[in-house]
Amino acid sequence: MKLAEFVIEDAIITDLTANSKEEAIRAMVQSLCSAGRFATENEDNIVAAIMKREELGSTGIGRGIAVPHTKHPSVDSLVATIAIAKEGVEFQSLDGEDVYILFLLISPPDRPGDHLRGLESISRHLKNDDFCSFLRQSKTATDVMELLREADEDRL
Amino acid sequence: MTLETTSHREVTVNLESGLHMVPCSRIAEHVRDFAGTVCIMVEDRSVDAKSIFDLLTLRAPLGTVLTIEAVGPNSDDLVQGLAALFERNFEPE
Repeated sequence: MKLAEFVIEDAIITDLTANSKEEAIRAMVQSLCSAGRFATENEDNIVAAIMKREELGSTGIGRGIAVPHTKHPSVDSLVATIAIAKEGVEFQSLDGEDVYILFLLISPPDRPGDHLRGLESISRHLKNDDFCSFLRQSKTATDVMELLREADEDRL
Repeated sequence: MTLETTSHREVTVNLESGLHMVPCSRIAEHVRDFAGTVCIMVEDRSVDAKSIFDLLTLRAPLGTVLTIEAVGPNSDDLVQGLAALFERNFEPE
């Protein structure tokens, strides 16, 4: 699964400032909502579902990266957004470090395969130090999408 | 002196959502302090079980058969412990 197929350009945040995990997650969910991916009435419910998932264990998986996610019936295909936090966000990560790159995923409950493929795609690219470094330097959503396309085509 | 041994075990993913992030975290946590190497293999792919990033690339849905391979001191214990995690579907003991 290619990143550019499910990351929503209009929802990318390249200058996230958040004082907490919940603030970061809310900003990203709002951004997906503003991009028209689900109705506003679902916003609180999606944030709550993602925060509930965080209780099972932080999705801050180390290397300055977090992948908060949930399943939710308000989407009919896998959607994701990316946020870059230059100052870092305290995320109770597994390695105790702040996070600088966040991928937030929402997948339809009846499509577990798509969720796994999305996670696989994100993880595969995030293992690449160049990808992470370029992502952190991106200044606009257009920069990010160009990087995602390069990664999808193994041009990094 | 503890002998370095190699152990294998096949396990099946019995989670409805497949091997998603929670079980991957549990696996990485379980093997973190093992003084050897642990791989999890499916078909022609093999990943380092100490790396959650690697584990997430397994993309293993319900029913996938995985092979665990551990090389190091008391590798049998490590593999049995991992297999037990799969058998109880990653629920706490």
